[in-house]
Amino acid sequence: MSATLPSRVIEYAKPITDMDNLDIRLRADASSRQVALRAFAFAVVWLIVGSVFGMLASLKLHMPDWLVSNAALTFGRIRSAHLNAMAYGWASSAMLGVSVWIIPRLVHTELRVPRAAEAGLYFWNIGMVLGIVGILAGYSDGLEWLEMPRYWADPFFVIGGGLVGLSLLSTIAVREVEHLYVSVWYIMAAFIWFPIIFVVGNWPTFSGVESAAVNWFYAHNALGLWLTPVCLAAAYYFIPKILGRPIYSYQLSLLGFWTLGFFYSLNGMHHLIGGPLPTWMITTSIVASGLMIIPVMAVGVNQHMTLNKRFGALRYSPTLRFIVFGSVAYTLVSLQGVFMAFREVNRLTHFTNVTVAHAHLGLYSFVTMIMFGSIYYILPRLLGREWVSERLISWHFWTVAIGQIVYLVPLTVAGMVQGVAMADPTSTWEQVVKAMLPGLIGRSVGGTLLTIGHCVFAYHVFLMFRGSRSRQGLQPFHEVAPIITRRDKATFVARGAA
Amino acid sequence: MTRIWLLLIGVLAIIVFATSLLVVIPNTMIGNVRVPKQLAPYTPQEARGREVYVAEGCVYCHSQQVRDPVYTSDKARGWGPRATVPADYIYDKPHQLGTMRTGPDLINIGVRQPSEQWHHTHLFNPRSLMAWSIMPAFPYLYTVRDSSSIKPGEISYSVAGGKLPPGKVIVPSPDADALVAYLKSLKRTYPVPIGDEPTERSIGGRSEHTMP
Amino acid sequence: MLPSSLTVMLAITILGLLTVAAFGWAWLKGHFDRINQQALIPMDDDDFTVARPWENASQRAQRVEEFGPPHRPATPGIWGGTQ
Repeated sequence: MSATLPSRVIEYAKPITDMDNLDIRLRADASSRQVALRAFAFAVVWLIVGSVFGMLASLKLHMPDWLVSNAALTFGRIRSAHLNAMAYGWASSAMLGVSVWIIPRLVHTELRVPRAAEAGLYFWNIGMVLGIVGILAGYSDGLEWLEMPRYWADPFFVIGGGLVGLSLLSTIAVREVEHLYVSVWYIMAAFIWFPIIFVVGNWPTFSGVESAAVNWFYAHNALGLWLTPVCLAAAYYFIPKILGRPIYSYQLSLLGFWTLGFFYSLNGMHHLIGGPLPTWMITTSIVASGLMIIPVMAVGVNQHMTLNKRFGALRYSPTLRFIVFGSVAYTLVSLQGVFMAFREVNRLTHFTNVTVAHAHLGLYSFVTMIMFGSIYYILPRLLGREWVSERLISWHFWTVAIGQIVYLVPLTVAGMVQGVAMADPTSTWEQVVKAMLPGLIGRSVGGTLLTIGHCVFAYHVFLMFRGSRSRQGLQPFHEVAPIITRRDKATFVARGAA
Repeated sequence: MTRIWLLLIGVLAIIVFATSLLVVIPNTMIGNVRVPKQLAPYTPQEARGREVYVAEGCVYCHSQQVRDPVYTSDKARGWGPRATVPADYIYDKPHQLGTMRTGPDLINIGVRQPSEQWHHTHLFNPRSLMAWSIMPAFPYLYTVRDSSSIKPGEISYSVAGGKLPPGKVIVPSPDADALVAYLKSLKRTYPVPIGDEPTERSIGGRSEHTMP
Repeated sequence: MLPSSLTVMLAITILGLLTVAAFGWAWLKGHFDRINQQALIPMDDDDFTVARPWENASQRAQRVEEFGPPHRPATPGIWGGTQ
């Protein structure tokens, strides 16, 4: 048969799918559909809101007399609103959606107590609104990453996260698989770790340097024990799935998981190097930061070797493009972080824009890109239709990819110059400020590109939800018997023919 | 792994360990930090000023810590005669140590800049004093009035640099006064008792900060 | 009161030994025996057998050899895999 057809035609031998597995996937998706779709909708709204705050903050840094007549628009409040809207609004909502979608698939059973998960999502977003309004109204708790008012906004996050966690853990408890895949470990761990660190971080009795230690114990763990695990879980699921090859070394992923937990959780004090804390605490964090090389290389090697010789896939799969970008960024930002934790380097990078750029390399290039990729994969399967336009996806990818480079490179360079200027006691503060100004302007340009990309993405998601017919006539690809289009007819070999 | 509880125990152990090491153990040691005799608690006005400092997000550009002079230039820059120690922050709730220096460190600003006139005009518009400054302006903390309308005993300031039309002055709001009172209270220059000398020189732990 | 660095070192050593013990117990109990199978959990037959447009001939041949004859790709457009 193959001898008579052009080589680019692939023979079709058996029905497209294994009925049992399809049944499991359809049931899993159907059970998580309601919660996941709403989570992604909230996430995209917060992405736009957070982008607006980010642009305001960035522009205000080099246009400091712009929009100053109202206290709610002052830089200090807008910047804090940006961080919280992005970290807890965009990233966390997207992560909640990804988690409730992935877990049923990996444990081969429907999501349990989905109403709890849905309620949790609403609680979370009520907390978000209260928190952002609180910050803009001047009620910040004063701790970075913990600004939302602890008594009347934060409880919503504990309840909301707890309800979603309850739903996930109930589902895992009645799993129909014998083994737990690594993504399940990461997600389960994240949902256990987050409420604990959130409550500890917000505990109201700490003052002085102790409150600083608790503050950064929480903030770094929000990155390492909440945002990172769920994004790694997504990467560990989507990369093998799309490539059609299992993870290169499952043993490495075991090692990566446990070392991530042990070492990441001790990193927090590296935000206070040189500060008024006992040396032993700071040194512990520096050592733990150095040891982070182990889980980071485990993840990096695993993902690179899985992708090995198949990088062509990036041309075809938008999901893979975003997720691989994110995975590479994870390795980069972690290695950067290891170096920045050493005192000799920290002496020059602490208090500078290098830290800001580093934070965005992690939160944007890693977390956000992986969430974009996940959404590009999940939405078609939940909505039963393909993305409307390949071009919109391409525009999204390229504007944010270029936007990140325009953002991060000038800001890092400016930060280094700033650090060197600050380290020289004879330099004036005017020189320090002038050193960082080009980076601040570059960041605004990059941020504008990112915002444009987000608008493209949000528009595309809106079209998807609305149900516009795919302009390319692409068929929903989860159907068992795909309809043959005119384009296919010329090259199609009848299904089932031997 | 099939045993879910093994995973759960491991996950909890990790976070309990980290919390013990970085939160609980320091907490039990904090009782040994002696309240410095030379450091007074904040007055109600200064405390209110600190709340304004927190609400406006000053911490996002200003730090409040002088680092070890052995490997940083904080002291050489004139930000303090010594590195700051835990005792300096005993009345600070929440801390405002900061992680960014778009602007200079402020822990000793009360020593460097005791002038209320300077602080008020600076807060009203930083560029009235330094054209290159990128600090936000805080005009909403002030009322702009005609200088002729100022009654005797009322405090007002004129603002240079062309940031106010001629004949106008600014009158600080209570919050502005409180904020300036707080800034003026930021002085941590009293000597630290022997044994509390901060140093990060010996990473082996021979000399620790105040906590034993 | 012990010097804090000694406390830290003791705490870390004891907990580290406990961790190694837990790991050793898990190993001896056979938790790591079929570990490579666990890597296959997210994969379905389609994921293995559907032909990928980016694979070269030898990779495709290897796929046929391991998993059997290929399926048609789910959709010619945006490649998101099978399901």
